Amino acid sequence: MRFGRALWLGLGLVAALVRAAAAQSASDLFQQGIRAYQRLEFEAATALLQRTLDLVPRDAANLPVRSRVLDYLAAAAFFRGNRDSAIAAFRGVLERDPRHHLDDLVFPPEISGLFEEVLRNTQVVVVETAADTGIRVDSDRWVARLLASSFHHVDVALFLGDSVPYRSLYSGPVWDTLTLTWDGRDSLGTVARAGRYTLSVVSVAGGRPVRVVRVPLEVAVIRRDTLPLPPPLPDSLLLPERTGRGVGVRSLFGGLGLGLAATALPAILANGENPTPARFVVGGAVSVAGIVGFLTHRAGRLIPANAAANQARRDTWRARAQAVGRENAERRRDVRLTVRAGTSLALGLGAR
Amino acid sequence: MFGLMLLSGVAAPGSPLRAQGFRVALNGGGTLVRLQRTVGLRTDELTGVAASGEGRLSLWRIELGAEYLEGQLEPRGSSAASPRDLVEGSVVLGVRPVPWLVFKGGPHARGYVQGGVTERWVSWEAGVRADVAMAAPAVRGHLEVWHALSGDVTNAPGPFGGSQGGEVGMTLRFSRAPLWLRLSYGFERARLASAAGLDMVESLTMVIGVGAGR
Repeated sequence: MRFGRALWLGLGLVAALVRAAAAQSASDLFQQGIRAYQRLEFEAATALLQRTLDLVPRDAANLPVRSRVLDYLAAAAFFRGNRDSAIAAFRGVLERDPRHHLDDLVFPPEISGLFEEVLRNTQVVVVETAADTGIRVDSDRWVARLLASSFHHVDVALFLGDSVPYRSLYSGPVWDTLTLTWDGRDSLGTVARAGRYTLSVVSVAGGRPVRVVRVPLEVAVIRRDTLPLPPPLPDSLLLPERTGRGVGVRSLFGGLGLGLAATALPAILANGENPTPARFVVGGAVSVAGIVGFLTHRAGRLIPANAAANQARRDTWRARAQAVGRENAERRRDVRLTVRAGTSLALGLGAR
Repeated sequence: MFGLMLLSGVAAPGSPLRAQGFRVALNGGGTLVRLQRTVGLRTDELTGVAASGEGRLSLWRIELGAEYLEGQLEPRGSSAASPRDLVEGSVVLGVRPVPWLVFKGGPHARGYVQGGVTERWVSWEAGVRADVAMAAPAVRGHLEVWHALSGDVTNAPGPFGGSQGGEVGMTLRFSRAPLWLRLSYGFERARLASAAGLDMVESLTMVIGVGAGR
């Protein structure tokens, strides 16, 4: 265990030393190349700078260093009489770093002039995006920044997959930088589906597309679940709103039956006795009430209390359904996209 | 018998009772009473107006009520009977298996006070009461019948023979107040064991009540 740990430590130390040595070596070579250039030893300078270039990593952090090395290489080539090589070197610088500028205090006017000429004739765009972005479709925008080497026309579009046109984002001139936004929808306003997309930036010069930069995008869509609507009101919860035929008939027969019972009560309980007419008072009142009940509860008559109770229940249900609908509409609007940008790829489209 | 009624009420399955909570009802009013007493070949008739009151508690399907009536009876027409005071009370326990039907039972006492002597009729009664919706929900009618299961009489010409009675009435409920008005007609026949004694009591009652009417 201890041996393994020591081995790993040793290997790490060696790697660090090698990196430091390489950096030191590249820096030394670059200084030597600059000194050779300043002594007008352009061939030696070219050799030293080429070796420097081989040692400097091609990552974004070392881009300024590589650009400076290429500047010296281009100048050396120019003074060696190799103008085309100088132009190619400057173009190489601009293709990787469109906003690069030559140091006028270091290089003479003829080199600055050549760089300006290359700059004018090189239509290059670099796309800068965040590697991973989350946006809310309703309120946020996905942002990409275009860095252009010089004024020219660009067509920016999104493609579904590699080649199915999805939405045009911009078509027009670009000077120095241009900030593009995408709201996460297609041209009809429909929210994008999850999947693979491609951001395409075509540089146009002289009416012809000269270069395209393609950035793969992986889009994921996150939607909130909606709430279920309340179940419809079952009929069992609603009261009858209109009287049926039975209510009135029951009232009539109930009243008449009770009236008869009141009248006949003494005769049933004590046959042969002589009761007072008081029984007719109650018997008559009950019978009249039964008849009134029959007349007021004929079939089809509205029962206001039941209708009001049912309406209150329906209103409550409707209010709940509307509340759920509003909440669901809010949730449907609350769509979030995550956009993961891959490594951009630049392609030249034909010779100039 | 009473236990059987109680069980039948409690065991009635799925009765759609709406108000099964605790309810209270009180009422009071006046009763026009007519007593026709036959002893041997003699028949006396007395009438009078009595004040009456009733209280009732309901919980779930059980009802507990108490009634009281007091008044004075005067001989009517050519009757030679003496005036007497009438005092009557009862306690009723009821079971309502369905909203429109009540089985009920309990002690019932009636006293006639004449010259310091009280003729007392005490009986245990069982009965049934049915409510009938008429001009619902404002007007309801009812029919009630009862029968004495046992009884006792003191200071009377003979032992208790039996009694039975009935009542028909209607209740008018006011829509905007917890008040109700009841008009009812009752008839009761009570007899001594010897065929010589027979009482028939007729009553016309009007009361106003508050709370949950029956």
